[in-house]
Amino acid sequence: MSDYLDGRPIPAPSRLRFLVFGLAVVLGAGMLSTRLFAIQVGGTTPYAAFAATTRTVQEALPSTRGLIYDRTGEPLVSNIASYSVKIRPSDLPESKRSAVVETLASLIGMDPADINVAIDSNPGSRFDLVRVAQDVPRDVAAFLAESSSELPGVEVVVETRRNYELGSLFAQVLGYTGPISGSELLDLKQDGYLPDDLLGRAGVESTYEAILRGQYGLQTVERDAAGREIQVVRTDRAPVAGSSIRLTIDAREQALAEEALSWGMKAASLKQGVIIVMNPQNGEILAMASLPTYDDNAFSQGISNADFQKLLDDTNKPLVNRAISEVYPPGSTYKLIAGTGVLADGKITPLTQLRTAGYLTLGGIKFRDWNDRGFGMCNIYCGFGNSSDTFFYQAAAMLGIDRHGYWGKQYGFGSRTGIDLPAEASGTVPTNQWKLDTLGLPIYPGEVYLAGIGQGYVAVTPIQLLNAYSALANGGTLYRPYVVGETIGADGVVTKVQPEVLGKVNAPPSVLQVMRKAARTVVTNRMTFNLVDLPIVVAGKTGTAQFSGKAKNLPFHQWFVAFVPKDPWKTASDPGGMKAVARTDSELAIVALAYNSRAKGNAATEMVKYFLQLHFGITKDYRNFNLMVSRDRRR
Amino acid sequence: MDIAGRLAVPRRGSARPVVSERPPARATSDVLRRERHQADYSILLAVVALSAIGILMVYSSSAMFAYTSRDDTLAIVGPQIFWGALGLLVMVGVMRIDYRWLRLVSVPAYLIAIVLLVLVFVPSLGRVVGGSARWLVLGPLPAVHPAEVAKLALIVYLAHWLANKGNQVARFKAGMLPFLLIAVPVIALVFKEPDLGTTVVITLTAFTMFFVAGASLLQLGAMGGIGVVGVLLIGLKDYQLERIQTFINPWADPLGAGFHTIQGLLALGLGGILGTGLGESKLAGGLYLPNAWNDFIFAIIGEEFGFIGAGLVIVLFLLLAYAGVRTALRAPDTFGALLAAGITAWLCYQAFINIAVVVALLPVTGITLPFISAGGSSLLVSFAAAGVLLSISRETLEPKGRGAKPEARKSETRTAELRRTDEAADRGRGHRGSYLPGAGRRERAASPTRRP
Repeated sequence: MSDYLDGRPIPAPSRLRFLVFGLAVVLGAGMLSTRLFAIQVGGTTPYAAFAATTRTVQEALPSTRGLIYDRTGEPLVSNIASYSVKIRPSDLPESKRSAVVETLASLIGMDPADINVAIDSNPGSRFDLVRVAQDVPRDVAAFLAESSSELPGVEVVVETRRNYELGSLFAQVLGYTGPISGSELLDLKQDGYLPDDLLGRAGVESTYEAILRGQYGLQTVERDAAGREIQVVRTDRAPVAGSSIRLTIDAREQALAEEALSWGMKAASLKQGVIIVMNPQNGEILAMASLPTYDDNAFSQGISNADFQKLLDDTNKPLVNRAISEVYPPGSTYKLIAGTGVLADGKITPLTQLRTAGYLTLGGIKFRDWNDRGFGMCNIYCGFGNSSDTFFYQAAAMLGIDRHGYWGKQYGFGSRTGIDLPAEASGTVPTNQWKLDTLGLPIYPGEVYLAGIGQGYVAVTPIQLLNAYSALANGGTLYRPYVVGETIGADGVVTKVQPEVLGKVNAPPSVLQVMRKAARTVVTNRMTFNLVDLPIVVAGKTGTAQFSGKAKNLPFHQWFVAFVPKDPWKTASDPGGMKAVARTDSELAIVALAYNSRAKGNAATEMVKYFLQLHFGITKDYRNFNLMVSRDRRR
Repeated sequence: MDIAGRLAVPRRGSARPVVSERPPARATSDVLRRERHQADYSILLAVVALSAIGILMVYSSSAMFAYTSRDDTLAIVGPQIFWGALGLLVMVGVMRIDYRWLRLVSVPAYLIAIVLLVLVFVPSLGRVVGGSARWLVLGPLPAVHPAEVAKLALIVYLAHWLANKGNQVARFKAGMLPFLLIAVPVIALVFKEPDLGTTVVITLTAFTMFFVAGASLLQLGAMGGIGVVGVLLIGLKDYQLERIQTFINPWADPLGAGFHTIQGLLALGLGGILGTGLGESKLAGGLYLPNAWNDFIFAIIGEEFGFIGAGLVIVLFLLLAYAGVRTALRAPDTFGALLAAGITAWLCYQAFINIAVVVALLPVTGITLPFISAGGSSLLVSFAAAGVLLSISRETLEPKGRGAKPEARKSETRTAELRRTDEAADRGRGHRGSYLPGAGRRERAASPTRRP
């Protein structure tokens, strides 16, 4: 023990080695000092230069978003001031985050998870504000603004938000605005979008985003190196307010369409339905209702994730505009194609009669008519007017699938109509090439039959179907349907949207006239029951589309697509309305879809009937409630 | 049995003239009295100045955070002041104790340190912070950082062991091999925590001690090579590799892995020559530096006090290093010399590695700046180490002619006093002359009393 406490004979460590160690320390200190000098004083690293300068940066000056009016000038959207709660993640210490989020959530009545999601999906950097709540009540906003010390990183900002005056009535057409996402920000940054910006998310708000948004201004701001704003140097570019938009849709007409649709859906216990009304003379959409729908104010007020998920999970797809985004088999309404085709290609004349029967046999398979007795010898009026399946099996077979497809495309099927709304579907027109490309097989003869009656591979959107019958009604011109009639610049300059011709149906006018008369025959033959009793002339085509497969007792999609001549009131000189439909002056075409209907009659026809009653102010009620109730396999 | 009794016992088997000439009737108190003088106050100055800067900067950098997170601006600096005060007491206490006592506790201290390092991995006791099991919670005691204790324990034991080995450290079986057996367990356990920064500090310190104790340069070089290859083979944890990649290019992920480095550099850049002023840095604009009061406190010093302030910190550590090396060179025995060198090496390496991280010369490692960063264990152990250094400095021998005080040189009483005390025996001068680095001993080595 004592060995340790006094000096033991031990060799001397070299003095030199201690000095070497000392020198190493001095060298280390020298290196650090040199580096420190370079960073802080020398200016040889970017940091000193960075620190020395105040930077002038350009910042966006938000513009006022344009308003949206209906056809008559009634405002559908207004910008109202509201309080938004935002969080700057860099100012919110991670250790305190859960407590702050918890407190904030209880104050503004949100789910804490939503706030966390908002912070974590922040498209900008940690220093950018993240919007966590919109449209916070004034007293809550005031309280939050005062308790900034308890809620670090939380800020209350006054923003304008979109208020949709008619809510769900126009939700499918107008869409809504919502926060920009990270990937969108990457694409839109150079267009002046900010990390906490809002942009149009659906409907017109989305397709006319650039016009409605206007142009954000630019101001030059001087900041110190730490990013603190010192002063606004100048305004480089004043913000240009967005243009306003006037729709082609009349809010009154839209309300009527929705009234007719919701009545029909209720009466026939439908889950989904569509009514679109348009002007065949130019493609203006006059009403577009797709039910069920949603309230776009819920989105502009900042929808909670739970509510949004509920909308997404709803099997009836309330967020989808079925009028343009979903495809369905068109059923008998598609007989227009084979009918026009056989006449225009000269396979038959309007007087040629074909034998119809209960069924046709092809390759050992019975292709049935909806009427198991058939209609005997039948010309085009008889065939179309009674919707004879066997007639159009033969018509389609005469054309062949490719020629049939050609006529389908002539009417605009198989490609988007180009309507100025987002997420339009294009549908399918089967041809040999199409089936080879998609399924690697040729078309079978039976599939030609099916195409003739709008079954099988044929898939159309309601807007395509309406556009096709509009072309029929106007004498063969296919217009691009549109919902925005004019834009009104911030300077008051009005720019009208000009109708756009997509193409002409390559059939002689006489053939189209025959088909219009045949469509009138559908009504006069009472295929549409008492629609013919209305004091106006209506022509159209019913359709009852099966799901593929032969399973029994499945519901049908029921269609009715119709057009009304310009002067629709029945006259003594034209009691059957044939002269009226021979003209090409129709300004009203309408399509109704009853999705998965079990109605005894055609629920779509009843909805169209009700709409026409409302539209033309027909006080007598022709609606037949019995047809809406139970189940009948009538086609 | 007190220290006096032990010191009075003649060394076994030694019949040295010096001892035999000692007056037998000498009072115990006389025998006890060592040649002590004032401690090297430049060490004290450096340590006190650094810890004062530390408390100031911890307060400046943590007050806002502490206020927002705990409603108390003193939440982080409060404990720091407490530990600082306790540390000062510990330092003064240790300074007044003969450092040779450490040789008695060196072996148990080393073993306890190893046990503590192992206990870190016991799930119920260890506390994992940021993916790394560095903290130990024993009952109601505050959480401790065993690696801090282990640093000092290893230095003391190595100094003791190397001093005993003498010349043999240059040999392989007697030197290198046992040295590795002592050092590697500590290094490996700390590496396993994992705490890469502390591992590097301990390794460098241990090898520095080995080097100054007289290790074979050839063996050291070979060891260095093997060590580098070993680290590459064992591999580093993913986050450690990521830190190294971040170091190479911090701007690759400026908001993720590179965030610390970039914010630190920007803070330094913002400071400039004179700095933004005390308290001006925190949450300035968008600038936000995590670990501001801890691993990156140097960046805040650089921001608030500029190059002048940051340079002062480096100068203070340099002063500590200078005083430490001087103490080592003049230490009265080999143990003291090695101990002083080890402690100096540890404090300086740790400081420089911490600063090198902030100025982006090294990847982010997560070690504290001694005396400055917030942290009780680190502060307390650093103060204790400084106390040991001061204790050694109290017994240094002035180099002859140069540094000695004029009155001491002239004084006749000093020679008389040397004769009266055990000084000569303590230093081993009675045997084979000077075994210590020190200017005053060469001559005595040739003294006739030693000749056979």
